[in-house]
Amino acid sequence: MHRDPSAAHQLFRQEERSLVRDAVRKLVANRLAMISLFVIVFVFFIGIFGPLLAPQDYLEQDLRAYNQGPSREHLLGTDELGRDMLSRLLWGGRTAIMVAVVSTSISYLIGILFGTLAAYRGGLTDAVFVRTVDLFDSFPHILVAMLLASTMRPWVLRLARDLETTRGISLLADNTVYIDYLVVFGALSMIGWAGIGRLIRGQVLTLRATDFVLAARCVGAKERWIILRHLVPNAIGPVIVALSSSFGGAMMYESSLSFIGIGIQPPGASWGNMIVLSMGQWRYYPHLVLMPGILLMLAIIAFNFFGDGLNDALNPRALTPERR
Amino acid sequence: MIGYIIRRLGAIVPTLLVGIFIAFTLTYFGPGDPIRVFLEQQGRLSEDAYESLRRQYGLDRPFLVQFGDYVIGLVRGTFGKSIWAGGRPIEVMIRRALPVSVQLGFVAFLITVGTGIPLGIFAALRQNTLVDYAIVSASVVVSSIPTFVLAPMLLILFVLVIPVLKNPIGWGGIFDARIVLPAFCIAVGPLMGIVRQARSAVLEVIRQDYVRTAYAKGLPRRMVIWRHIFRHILTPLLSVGVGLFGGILQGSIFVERVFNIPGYGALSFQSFVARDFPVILATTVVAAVIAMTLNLVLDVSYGLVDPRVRLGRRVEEI
Repeated sequence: MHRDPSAAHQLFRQEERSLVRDAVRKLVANRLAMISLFVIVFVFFIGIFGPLLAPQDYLEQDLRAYNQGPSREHLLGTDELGRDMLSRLLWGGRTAIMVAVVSTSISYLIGILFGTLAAYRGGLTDAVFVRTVDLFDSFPHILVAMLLASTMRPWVLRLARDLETTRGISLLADNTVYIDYLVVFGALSMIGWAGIGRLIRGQVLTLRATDFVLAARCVGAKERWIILRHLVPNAIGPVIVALSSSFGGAMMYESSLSFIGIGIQPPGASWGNMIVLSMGQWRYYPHLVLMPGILLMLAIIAFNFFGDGLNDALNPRALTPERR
Repeated sequence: MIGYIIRRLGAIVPTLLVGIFIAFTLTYFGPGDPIRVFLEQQGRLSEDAYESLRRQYGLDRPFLVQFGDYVIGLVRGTFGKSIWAGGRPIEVMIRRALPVSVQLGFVAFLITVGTGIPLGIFAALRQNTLVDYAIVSASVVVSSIPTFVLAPMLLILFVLVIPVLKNPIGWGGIFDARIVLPAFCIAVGPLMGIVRQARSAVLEVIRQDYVRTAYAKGLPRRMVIWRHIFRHILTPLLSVGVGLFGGILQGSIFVERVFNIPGYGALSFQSFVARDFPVILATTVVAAVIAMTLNLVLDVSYGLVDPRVRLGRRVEEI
């Protein structure tokens, strides 16, 4: 019996492992996270290509055919002004995705920048940062967003009108949708950054004391280099894990603001303002409330489940349940 | 203890002042000149009328003086006058609305805590089984549904699909059947946080030696859970308190609108719809004061629940 020694070697050879590869494998094995990822891709698809796919103009009113059920002409029926529901849902998806991506990006940039800087510099910078974050956290977030959105809107509108008269740059077009976007981006960024800043500050505080940062300092690396090359890349893991549920949260806040009437204003389309428009007649036309509501709900649930999946995959010690 | 409370109050007052200053500035400069807008709407804009109205409302004085006046008014318990409700004093509106929301919020709080903690404990005791998995997933699902989506869905379900409720809208106090749906809608929002916190707290405690000892000496499971595990998860659970308040407040803003309940959330909602900036400012400030007070009460109660906590030190340091 002769055995090739390299065969035995092959038998016991372990596949290469890395954090990312392990995480991806764990994530793929997580059925719920994969279904959620599918939903998320679908929602992003609507957000990017939805308006191109919309069968009709989302603003066109057909006053002879209002509050209709599904038909061949209007696949998902029409709302109380006779506008095509499918087209409005697709445009509302664009709003939701755009707000989620832009406002989350802004708040993460601010949070990461200030959080890292505060932790690295320490002293007065850190004290001011911590006080500011505490201030933001002591006010209920939804009220801060509502306050900002409602007070910023008239101000931004005036600014836009000034621009139009003095420079001839028109932001207003035929409705105020762009202004609404700006206002919502601003309001949501302001409530999101504090939590991220706090998270990354904690990470950087421990990193700051490590030898490799000291070594970098010893060889004369500049503060900017240390922060961008050493601290941020090493501290960013938990922040990325939080990203998915932040998207869901931003979508929820956007539709909340639009529901109250201080986010995206009619005739602009947002799932939130579609719900409030049809809310008055839920007894008679429940499908008009249910369609945007269910879409919004599915999107937020998917973002939260995927966020959990990421968390399980990247922080094996965390205490969320193992998913099989 | 008293020294600690005084020190904390000393920290709250400046934070609150800065917060009120920012909110005041926003509502002052954001919406534009209220007198001009008012006169333009009335169609009698003239410099004379403008100046006299400005003087009458004290708007011609420096901004900081007006802010000072507002804060003095707050201390005395006056919040100014509502524009939308025809000059009614805001404190009267708040005094009428707040008790309704407190009752509704209290019922919601009982539902959240009464289901969230047992579910969290139950999930932890059966960690990584189907039960655990189902409880945690279900809590993620219900907490992810925005209140203004859940409320109409429940209405449609219980009025149109399964007609058990005839008239679920309105307010009749705690003992009225109409409170069930709104309280439930508010309660599920913060549920996920409670379930997770309770679950991870139990998981941490359950591996401790003294729990094993308790089982080993023959204590029945029920006693171990109640006497040894439950007491130790109270401290981590207190940290959800403020988030819980925020969740209940957020829920009540939408639920009271949908169910037509004349509470604090509905007042706030209405002020935003009507762009009634004095009321917007007042409702925000009152909510912040309540949140901060609650925060203080919770921090103090850490010491009461957990004797290891020495007040004045941060809980994370222990």
